[in-house]
Amino acid sequence: MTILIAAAVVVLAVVATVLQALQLPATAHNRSGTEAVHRFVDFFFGVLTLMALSGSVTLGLLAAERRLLTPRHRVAVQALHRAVSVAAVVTLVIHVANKVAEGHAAPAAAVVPFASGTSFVVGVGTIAAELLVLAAVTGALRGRFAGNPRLTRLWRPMHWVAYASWPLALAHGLEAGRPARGWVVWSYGVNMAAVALVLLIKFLYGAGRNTTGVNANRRLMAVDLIGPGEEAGYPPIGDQLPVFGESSALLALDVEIPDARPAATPEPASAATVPAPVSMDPAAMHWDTGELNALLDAGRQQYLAEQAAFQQQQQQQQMQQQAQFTMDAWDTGELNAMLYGGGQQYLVEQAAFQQQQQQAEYPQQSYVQQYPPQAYVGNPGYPQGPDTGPQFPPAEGSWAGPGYGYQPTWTQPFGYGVDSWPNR
Amino acid sequence: MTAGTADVPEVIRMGPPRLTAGLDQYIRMGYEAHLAVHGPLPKYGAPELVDLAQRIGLAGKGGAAFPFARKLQAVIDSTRRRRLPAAVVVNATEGEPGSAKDRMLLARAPHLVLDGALLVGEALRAESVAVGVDEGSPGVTSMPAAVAERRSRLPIRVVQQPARFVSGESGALIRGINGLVALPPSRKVRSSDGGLGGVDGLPTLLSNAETYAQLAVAARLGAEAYRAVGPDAEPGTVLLTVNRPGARRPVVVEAPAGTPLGAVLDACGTGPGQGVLVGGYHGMFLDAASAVTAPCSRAGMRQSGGTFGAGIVIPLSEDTCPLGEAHRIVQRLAAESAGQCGPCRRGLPELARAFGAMVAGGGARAVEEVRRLAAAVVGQGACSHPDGSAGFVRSALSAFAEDVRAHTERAGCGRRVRAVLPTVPWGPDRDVGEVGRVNLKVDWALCDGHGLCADIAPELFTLDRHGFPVVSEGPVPVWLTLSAKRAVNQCPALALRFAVSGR
Repeated sequence: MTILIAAAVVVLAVVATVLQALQLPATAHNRSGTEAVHRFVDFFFGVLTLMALSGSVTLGLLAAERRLLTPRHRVAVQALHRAVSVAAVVTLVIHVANKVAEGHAAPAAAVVPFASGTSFVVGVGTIAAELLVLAAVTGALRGRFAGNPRLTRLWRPMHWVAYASWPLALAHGLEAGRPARGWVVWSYGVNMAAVALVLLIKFLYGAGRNTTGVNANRRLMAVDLIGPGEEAGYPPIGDQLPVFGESSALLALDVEIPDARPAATPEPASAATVPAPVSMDPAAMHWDTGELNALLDAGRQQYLAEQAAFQQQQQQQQMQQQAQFTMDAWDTGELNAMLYGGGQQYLVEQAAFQQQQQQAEYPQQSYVQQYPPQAYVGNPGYPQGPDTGPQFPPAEGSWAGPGYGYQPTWTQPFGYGVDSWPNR
Repeated sequence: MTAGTADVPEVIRMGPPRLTAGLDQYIRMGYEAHLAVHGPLPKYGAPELVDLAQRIGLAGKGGAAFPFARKLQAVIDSTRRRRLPAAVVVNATEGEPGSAKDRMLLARAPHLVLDGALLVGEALRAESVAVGVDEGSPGVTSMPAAVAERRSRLPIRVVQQPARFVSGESGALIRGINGLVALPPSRKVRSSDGGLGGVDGLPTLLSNAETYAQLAVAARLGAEAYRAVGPDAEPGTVLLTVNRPGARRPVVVEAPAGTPLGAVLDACGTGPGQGVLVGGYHGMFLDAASAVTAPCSRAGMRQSGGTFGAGIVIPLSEDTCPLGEAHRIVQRLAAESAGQCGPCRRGLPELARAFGAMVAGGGARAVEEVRRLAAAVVGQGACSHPDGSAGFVRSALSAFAEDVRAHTERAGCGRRVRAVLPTVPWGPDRDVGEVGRVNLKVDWALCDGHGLCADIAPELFTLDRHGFPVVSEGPVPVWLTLSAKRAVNQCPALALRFAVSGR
C-alpha cells in the first residue's frame, strides 16, 4: 500500500511537471519547435534531476526499513529506487550537457567544482553531481562489492554519499535557476525533514546490529606483548627450581604403565639430512611398541579385572545389606504367609461364630443337621441304594420299566454326545 | 611474574617423557635448563621437515587434526607460486575451558614451543614468527620472558588475544595479529594461501603450540625413534588435560598414544564417575564402561564413540546432575559466541533456553524441541561453533538418556549441580572477563507483560504463553550488551535491571 502511494506520488509529480512544461511554449514564448524543445530541456531537466534524486533518496531509505515493510515490499521499493536513480543520472547528464552546450557553464565547471568563472551555486551543483554519480556507480557495482571480501564492508559508507549529494543538489536547484515557488520550496523542505527524521531514528535506535557489533568488537582487539622488531620489555624469568615447601603437586610424577623396560636402541636414521637424536638418553626413550602394547593390554586387563572385582564386592555388600534388612524387618513372603494363616483362622473362627449364631437363631436347623434325613426305605418310586448314574453300557433292562418294552441297542456308543443319551 | 609461573598445572607422565622431560626437576625450564634437558636444536631444510612430519604422522593437536605435512607443503607451494616470504603463527590460545595442555607448555616448557616454531621458520625462511597467547593465561608472562631469554635471528612477536571462547579459532587469531577485531572471519579462507587469511597477507603456517613442541622433539629424535611409542597410525605421545572433580588445578598427562583412558584416570587418582566428557565442549560424553577402555588416540576415541579433539578429559562425578552440568555449558556456549551469524545470534540462545526448560521438566515434547533446535543450527554459521555445540547437546541427550527421562517425566534426578564442568579456562588470572559480567534480572511483581523486551532483544527474551518474558539465564553475551541496555531502558514497567557479578 505504502509503495503504491509513493509510486503514485512520484508518477503524478513527473506527469504534472511535463504537462506544465509542454504548455509553456504555447503561452509565453511562441517560437519554433526546436526552440521549444531547447527551452524545455533548459528549464526542466534540472528540476527533473532534483525530483528524481529526492525520490531516489527517500525510496532508498524506505527500502532499508525492516520494521514497516515486509521483505516483498522491500524488494519492490528497491526496484523502484534503482529505476528512479537511473532516471536521475540520465536527466543529470542531459542537464549538464545542455548547460555546457549553451554556454551557461564552462566545460571545466562540469568536472571541477568552483572552477574560475563559475558562480558559487554552480560549484555546489558540480559537487552534488559528482557525489550522485559516485552513489550511482556503487549501486550499479553492488554485486562486485559483495564478491570481494575487502570491499564488502566499504559499500555502505560509499553509498551513503547520496545523503550528502541531495542537500547540495537542493541548494543548487533552488538557488541557481529561476526563483522557485513557495509550495515547491515547502514540499522539498518537508521531504528533507522527513528523511532527516527517519535517519535520526535509524541512527539513534534502529541500527541494532551494526551498533551492537561495533560496541562489542571494540573490546576484542589483540594486544602486542612483544611487537614486530621490538626489544622485549619482559625480563627473562629463567629456570625455576622447586623451592622447599612448595607443593609436590607442581612436579611431574612418574606413572609407569606398568613396569616397562627400555627396548634396544633402534638403528639411527640413514639419511644424512635427518640428524641423529641429540638429547634424552635414547636407552630411556626408545620403546618396543609390541611389548608396550602388550603391557598396555595387560594393564587394561588388570584394570578391568579390578573393576569387575570391585563391582562384585559392591554386589555382595548390597546383598549383605539386604540380608540385614530381612532380619531387622520382615521378609514379605513370610509375612504374607502369616497374614494368610491369620486370615484362615479368622475365617474359621468367623464361620464357627456364625454357626453358633445361627444355631442360636434357628435351633430347628441344628436339629435337622443333627438328624440328617435318611433314605426313605420302602418307597417304591425310588431305586434302592446309592444312585451311581447312568452305566455304560447300561445293564440289560435296567431302565426298562415293565410297561414300556423299549430296548436300546448300543452298537455305536461313541457316536453320541452326552446330551444325546436316550432319554429315560 | 611469579604469579604467572608459580601456579602451574600439575604434570603426570606415563611412559617415556618427551614434552614433559625435565619437568620433574624444574617448575619452569628457562633456556639453560631447556638446553640441558633437550639439547641443541638441529637445522632442517623445508623438504626434510615435510618428510619428517609425514613420517611421524604429525597432525594438528588443537583438535582438528589436520596433517601437518600437508599444511607445510601448502605453504611452501604458496610461497613459490606467489613469490612471497612465509609467516609462522603459533596458536597457543586455549579458549576451551577444559584444556590446559598449551598453558602448561607455555608456563613450564615455553622453549620447546619456540623451538618448533623457529625450526619451521628457519626451514621456510619465514619473515616472522608470531605466538598468540590468551589474556589471563600463564603465557602472558612466560612467553615474552622466554623470547627475551633466547636471541633469535627471526623476529618473534607475542600477541595477547582477548579471553573469549571463539578468539582461539585460527582465523580469529590471524585477524588479531593483523590488528583487526579478533573474531572468526565471516568467510572461510586458508591461511596458507596468504592474502586475507594470512599474517600481513603472507602465506602463513598456523598450528597449535603442542604441534610445534612435538615437532621440536621429533627433530631431535628422528622419525624412527619418535615412532617407538604409540600405535603405528598415530605414533608418539599425547597430552591430555584431566579435570578432576573438585580439584583446584587440572592435571596434564603425557602418555603414549593408545593408553587406555581408565589407566590415565587411575594415575590421576580419579575414576570415570557416571561418564566422561572427551574432546571438550565440542566433544562427546562417554559412559563409564566405554570410557575406561577407550584408547587415548584419535582412532581409538572415535571407535569408542567419542572424539579426541584437544585431549580434554572431564569425568562427571556421581554426585552431580549431568543435565544441569550440560545446561550450564550450553548457556556458556551461547554466551561465548561471537554473535556474528544467525545460529549464534538466535539459535544457540534459543537452544540454551529450551535445554533449561527440558531440565526443569516438560515431558517428551521438551526433548523433541531441544533436538529440533540443535539440528537447526548445524551448518548455518561461518565457523564450526554452532555445529560443535549442537553435537555436545545431542551427546548429552543420548549419554544421559535415563536422567533425561528422570527430568522430563519425573521430578528430576535429585542431585545438585556441582559445577564439575569448568566454564572458564584454567589460569592464574582466570577471572579475567568474569568480573563485571552482567546478568539480567526481572522484577516479577513489576513486570506487566508488555513484551517490548522480546521485540528489542529477541536474542535475550522470549515471551511465554501469557506474554511474560522468559529471560536467558547466565551472563549477557558481550555482543548483546547494547541490546540488553536498550531493553532495560525501554521497559515500560521499569521491571528489568542488571545484576553485576564478581564485584
